[in-house]
Amino acid sequence: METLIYLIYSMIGVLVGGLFSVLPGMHVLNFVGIGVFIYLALPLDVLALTMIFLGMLIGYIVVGLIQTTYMGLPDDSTRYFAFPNQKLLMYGRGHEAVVVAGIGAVSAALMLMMLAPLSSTIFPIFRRLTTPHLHWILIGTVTYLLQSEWPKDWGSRAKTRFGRLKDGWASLSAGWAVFFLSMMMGFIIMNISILAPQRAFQNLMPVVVGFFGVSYMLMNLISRAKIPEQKVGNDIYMKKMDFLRGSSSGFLGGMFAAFEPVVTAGPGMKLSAHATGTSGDSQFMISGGAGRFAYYVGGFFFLWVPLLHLTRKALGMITSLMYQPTVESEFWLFMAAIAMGTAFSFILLVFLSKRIAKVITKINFQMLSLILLSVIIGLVWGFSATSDYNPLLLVATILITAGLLFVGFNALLRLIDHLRRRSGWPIYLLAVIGMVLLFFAVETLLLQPGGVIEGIRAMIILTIATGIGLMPLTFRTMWTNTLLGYFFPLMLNMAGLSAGIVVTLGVY
Amino acid sequence: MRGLTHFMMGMMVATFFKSLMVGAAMQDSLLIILGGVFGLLPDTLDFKFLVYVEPQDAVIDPDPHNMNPQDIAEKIAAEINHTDQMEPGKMRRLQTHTLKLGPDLWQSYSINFNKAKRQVEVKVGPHVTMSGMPAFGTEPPTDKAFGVARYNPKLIDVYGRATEVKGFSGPSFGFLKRKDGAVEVVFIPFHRRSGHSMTMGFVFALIGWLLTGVWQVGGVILAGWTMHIALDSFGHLGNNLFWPVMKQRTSGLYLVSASNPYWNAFAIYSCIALIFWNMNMYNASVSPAYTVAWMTSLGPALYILSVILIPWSILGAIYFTYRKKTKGQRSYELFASTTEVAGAAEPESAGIVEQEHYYEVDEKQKPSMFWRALGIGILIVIMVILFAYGPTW
Repeated sequence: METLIYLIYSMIGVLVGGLFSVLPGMHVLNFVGIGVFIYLALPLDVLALTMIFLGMLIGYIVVGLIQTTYMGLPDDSTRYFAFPNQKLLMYGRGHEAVVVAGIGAVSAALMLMMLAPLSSTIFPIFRRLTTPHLHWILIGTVTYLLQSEWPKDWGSRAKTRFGRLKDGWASLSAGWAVFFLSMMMGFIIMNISILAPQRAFQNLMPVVVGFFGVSYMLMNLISRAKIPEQKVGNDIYMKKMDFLRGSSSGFLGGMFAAFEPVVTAGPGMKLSAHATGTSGDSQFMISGGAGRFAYYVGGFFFLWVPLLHLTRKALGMITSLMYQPTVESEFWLFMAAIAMGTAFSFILLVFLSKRIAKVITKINFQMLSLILLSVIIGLVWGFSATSDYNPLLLVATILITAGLLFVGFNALLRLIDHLRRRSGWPIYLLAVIGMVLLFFAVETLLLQPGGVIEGIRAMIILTIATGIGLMPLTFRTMWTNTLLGYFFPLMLNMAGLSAGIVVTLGVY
Repeated sequence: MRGLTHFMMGMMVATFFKSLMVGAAMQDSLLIILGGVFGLLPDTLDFKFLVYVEPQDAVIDPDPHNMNPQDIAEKIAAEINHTDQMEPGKMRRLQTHTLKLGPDLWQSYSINFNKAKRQVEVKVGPHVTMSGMPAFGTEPPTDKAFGVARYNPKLIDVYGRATEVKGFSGPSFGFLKRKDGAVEVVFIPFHRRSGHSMTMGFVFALIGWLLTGVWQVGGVILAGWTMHIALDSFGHLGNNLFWPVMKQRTSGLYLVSASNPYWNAFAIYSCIALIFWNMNMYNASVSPAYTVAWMTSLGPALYILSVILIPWSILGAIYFTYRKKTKGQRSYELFASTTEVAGAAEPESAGIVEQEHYYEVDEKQKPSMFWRALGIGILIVIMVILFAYGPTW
């Protein structure tokens, strides 16, 4: 009976996480806050809370595929397959793309089930062997990803050899520049907390939102794409071999990224795609769904594996502060919750996707992008500037910020054409600066006079990260380089090499 | 083979060097990564430098919205005829271009040298994705699909199949005038020449050794580089092992196919298994807590048999049976022809699907069983040396 109650808690988590994940800009870490809120509101034991966390995580992973496909808002794990999903959306097959990626996630859950009985034998061996070598494995991974990037000139038409070399190296050098700039940002932000100590754990949020969210939304606004009528059926196009290769590739990549510290889902999936020769959109979508699931749930899974107790990734680390599994039965409870949660979240995914596919065409894509852009910036401001974590105040801050930004952005879009025609760029730029100052002034007066400095700092980080995040889009280079670069100082630190660089840069 | 396979091969041989492994584990050095870097470097040189500095005597760059296969065929035939007038040993190079229609959509066409009829045959194909998946309903009408043009000289082209020009950048062809008067087709003449020679490996190793004064640095550079050349020699397209003494590529051994996912996955898995073996062996120098007793007790032969050979033989049997069963079936993407994609971003997958696997061609005749067995023998000898002497390096 007790087990059943815990499983019901995980189902509640799936429902809450699934519904929240449809909202733009939500990240798994935001769910921890919601989970704590539920914990405070309801009298639960800690194991019940972790079941809620797990359910929310699964809901976020599976149902969150809707956000990537219909709203074009990728994060590091979904960026990998955002392109094929968006392409299918433009062919009127968004629902199919969602379901294919969802099947990938379900396949990863099944593989995790199969691995579970062997996990307490295999993973402790991996851990024992690799512990002294983690730093060079990570640095080797980064080296390979940088060295193996393919030029994107698609056959330079330049007449001279130098001209062709320059064309070929345009994307490669941009990729290295993205890595370098992100690395410098990492050195600064990880060594000098830009935000106040009580908000330091939100340091990463403006960076990730800038790298992936804002940059992609800006491109969506510029591209002026229109979503065509969506076909919602029960058939999907998937070959057996695509399923097998895609799911196994994604699972391997996700589990590698989950097991190794610092590595995120994107590089992990990229490596496994190289290793297994992933090709074709179907394989990428399945692999993406599987890899995302394996990365997030796999990272949490290692905490529960008997005789391993490895704390990896955000949710695993946060949970380990509150709770440590002690008996094997808890591991199997965890696995049962994964099985039920995945099944439930997949049903929720199909249900919500069908409904969203029907209404998405009625929404102006640009307007949607504008709303999403406002909300994700609002989230960054809200989490950075709110001086205490009163949930209601936080929600109010986010909503007001997003509302103000939406109005501001909308007015800006209209002003662009007008001012460029009438007065040229300088006046337009002054208008932009004026708008931003006005926004901060209103925000400050309305809500958080104490946290405004942190909010402004977060906006500065967000702006820089957005600039770096736009480089892969404009120079057609790898987006992965952003996070690889950002986390590279951590890898150097593990290798005992960062202290000298930190001193040289003066960031301590 | 794929880039990751080469990188992992380089890393694997580097982990046999005890001083590098223990140095890495004790956070003294990262020299071990040189194995991976130089394991991948031959392809880096070819596809990021040499491809761009190759001269282009003629260029095929058709209008994707108005394909004229007859024009393409005539231009290629004219180049072959032009080469026929040149002195023996001279080569003309023809660059073909791919035709991009959208973020992940390309107009495909193919070029075939029909030696029996002495004619160049060009066929316009459907739109394809980056992975080469064709889109239904995008094939051109028959009267606009084919072009044929005759050439004069005797042509040597062992490949004997059409070359498809689709995603990435297009392949180049060299037309080499031979002493016997024939013209030989050399596929992507820049590839696997100086950048894939043992000569360059020795030069890099020497530079590494001289710069650092540590012989292991030269050793790991040479080992990583050699594994790349050895692995490529197992494929279809050979290498120019002793450039500049040798002028042409030798034949590949036809033991594996570079694009085959099974062989790539097998090679990578084997490398990881051997790296684990070396970790276990050398971790004892750091702390016995990082070793696994049963691995040590197995010994290398039994470890390789049980961890690599038996599981991959079973997987291989399943894979090749399935492949035989599905032979001839071709994947299609069920996409309509459109060029619009939200977000206007290039596919991230563009960096994953590698171009080189399009370049696995049967340029030369398949070598005799002796040479093929010798190739495997050399690999076994290299591995035996690494197992035997690695712990003393």
